[in-house]
Amino acid sequence: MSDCAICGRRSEKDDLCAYHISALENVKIAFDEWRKALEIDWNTYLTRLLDEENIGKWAREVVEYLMQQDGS
Amino acid sequence: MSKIMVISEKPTAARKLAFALDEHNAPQEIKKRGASYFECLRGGHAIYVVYALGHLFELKQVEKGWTYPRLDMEWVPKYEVDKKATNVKPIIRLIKRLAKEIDEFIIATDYDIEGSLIGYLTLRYACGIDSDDARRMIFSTLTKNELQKAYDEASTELDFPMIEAGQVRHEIDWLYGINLTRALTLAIKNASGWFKIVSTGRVQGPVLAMVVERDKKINVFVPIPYWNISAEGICNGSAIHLEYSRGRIDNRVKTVRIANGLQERKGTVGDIKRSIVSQPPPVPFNLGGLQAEAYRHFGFKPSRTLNLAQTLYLEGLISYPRTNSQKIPPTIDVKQILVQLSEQKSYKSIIKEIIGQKVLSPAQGKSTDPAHPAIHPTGERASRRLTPSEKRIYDLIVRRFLALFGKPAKKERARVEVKCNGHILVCRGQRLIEAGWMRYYGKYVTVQERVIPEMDIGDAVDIVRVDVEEKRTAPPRRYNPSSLLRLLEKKGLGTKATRAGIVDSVRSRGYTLNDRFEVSTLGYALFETLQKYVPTLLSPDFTRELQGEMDKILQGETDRETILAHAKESLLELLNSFKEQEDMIGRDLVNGLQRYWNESEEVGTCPTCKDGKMMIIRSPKTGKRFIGCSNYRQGTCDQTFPLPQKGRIVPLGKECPHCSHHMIKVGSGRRAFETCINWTECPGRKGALEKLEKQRAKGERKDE
Ligand SMILES: [Zn+2]
Repeated sequence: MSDCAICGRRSEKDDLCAYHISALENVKIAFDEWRKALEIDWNTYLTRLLDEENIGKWAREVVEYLMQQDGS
Repeated sequence: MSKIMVISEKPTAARKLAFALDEHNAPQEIKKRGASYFECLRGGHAIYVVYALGHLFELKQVEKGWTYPRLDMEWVPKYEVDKKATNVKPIIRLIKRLAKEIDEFIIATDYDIEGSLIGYLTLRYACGIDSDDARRMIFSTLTKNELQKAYDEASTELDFPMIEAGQVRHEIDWLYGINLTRALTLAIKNASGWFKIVSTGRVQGPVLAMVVERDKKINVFVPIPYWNISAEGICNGSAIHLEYSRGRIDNRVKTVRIANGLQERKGTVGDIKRSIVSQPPPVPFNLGGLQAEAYRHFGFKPSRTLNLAQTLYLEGLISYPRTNSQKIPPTIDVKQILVQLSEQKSYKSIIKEIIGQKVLSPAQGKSTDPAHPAIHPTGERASRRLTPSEKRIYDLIVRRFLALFGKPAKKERARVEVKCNGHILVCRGQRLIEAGWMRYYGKYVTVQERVIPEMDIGDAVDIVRVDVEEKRTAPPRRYNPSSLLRLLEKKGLGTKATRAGIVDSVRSRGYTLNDRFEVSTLGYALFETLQKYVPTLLSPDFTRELQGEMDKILQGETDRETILAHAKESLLELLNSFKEQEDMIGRDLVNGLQRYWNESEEVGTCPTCKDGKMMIIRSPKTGKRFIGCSNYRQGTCDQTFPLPQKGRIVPLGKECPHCSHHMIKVGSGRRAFETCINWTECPGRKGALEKLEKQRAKGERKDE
């Protein structure tokens, strides 16, 4: 049993808690729409999400986590 | 000469009663050490009008000890439970003393569950009288006529179903509140040694659950881009506004293609549809309706609106506001009210018009209330200058009352299609043909008119401008105090008397951060623990069931004892299962609390005491964040620094080159900037401060 890498709640899968898993799912689902809309790749998408005013708190944390993972 | 005691709910109501009942309109107020009563003469009897201050008595546990389960309780003077309630002491003492010489008792508290209970408890525990010997005055306004009539026709029996329903609600709320709060608090204490009161209650659990569900949706939300196309055209010499008929477009390239296809083209008018829409007058106000409208127009919180309406009621200006009814029954003399209201200049001309109608029949709503009609003005004039807020609520209530007598409003809507280069654009128009009731309701209703020129099929349209707007889908709306209250009403949670307080309490207990019901880490910790171990406490079923049982008491289908016994049984079951899992519950809550306290990462060592850690902390009271020293809780250091309220804060683990304070990053992505925690004072940070001010101004404009 490990903790969520983002918030410290109990993790359910891949070092993420239930909340951050569902945020990650949303980020992935929305990518399809963004790709269709703007023809951008995954990394550009993540960077652009950070500028989005209305992105949810957990979704933003997941994006930051993904970018950090990618960078390290 | 016999002596009669009339028991009212509040000093202002007592004064109104005394002036209405005294034959010479000159009752005497007798003051006794911190309390008073009114002496009146009527029909050869001496009447003593006394008052309570809301509840004078509260429930207290019989057996001692701050533990659970505690299932036995008794009614005691309020000051025994609430040390601050010293003001009720002289009042109870006065009523007790006067009661000794009284021949007859009449209860004249508000006619609803809470009022009936206040009257009953005062009679029983202050007067020491058996409730079978008292009479009940029933009224919905504090006007002289209605009070005199209520006195002359007082019921010979108290309203026992209401009293019982009120009593059992207090008892069950007490049982659940006390026992569950102790269970949670003790679970934390046994797991960690900390004493942090974590409370929940019968209605509060389900409300927390609803607020959390909405918060979760907002937290995982990812906005998606889309585009809107609109255009300006000229038709028959007049400018028209056009919108792309298919609404949102989900692709930028496609958007540009469509926009280019419209640019400076010629179109022709195709299909034209016109329709007349009739909008009936609004329904009379019940409390929820008034609260929603006052929030919409004045931004008043539901609890504030209730307080203001309560004051207007006590002044005799409006009927009893704690009502669920949207009906004005035929027993109310609406003509008389209108005639009286017409003495006020601002309503005079409208009322003249209304009274000119053949029949005066106000619009009616669906909701009913067994005890009171919908909120309406009494027609009486204020005996003092109303405060600006009182005036606003009063005007809203009067205008709504007047609107009930108006004819339906009629609007004409038009939808004109313009075909252009294979695309269809739409021009929409709306105009008011007949204002009807809207004129009476005045500034509380506005119609957005969009006037469009005469157009015929085949007319040419020149597209002179095309606008493309890139937008984003929006997250679910956050609750505000008014929308949450409406939801509770819809779901049958709480009562008209308790809802506003419940909505306030979710925030005041630190479970949400602000008026927008953003859930705090503490709120999540409590929610997650309850969901895992005692989900019953979050489900609306239990409390809805109780509400149903209270209704059965009111209808005489069951009694207080049966329901209380049943409630104690299920509570005990719940507490037993809680106790079995206490270790786990305590551990989970402690983990949650630790997250709550530490959520905010450490910024570095405190520059003042050189021992504590500078932490990002959110004030549970204001929801505002700031940096404070961890030694604050030990009381040894109170160093704090302000923080910008928007944007994520990340400590950078380096020092400011200008003032050597810790550095932080504010915000993320392209808008992020670095600053030090001393940014408001730091000589090198003037720029950051200005940038923040600018952002704040922008943010505020957006909030409007
Ligand atoms: Zn997490």
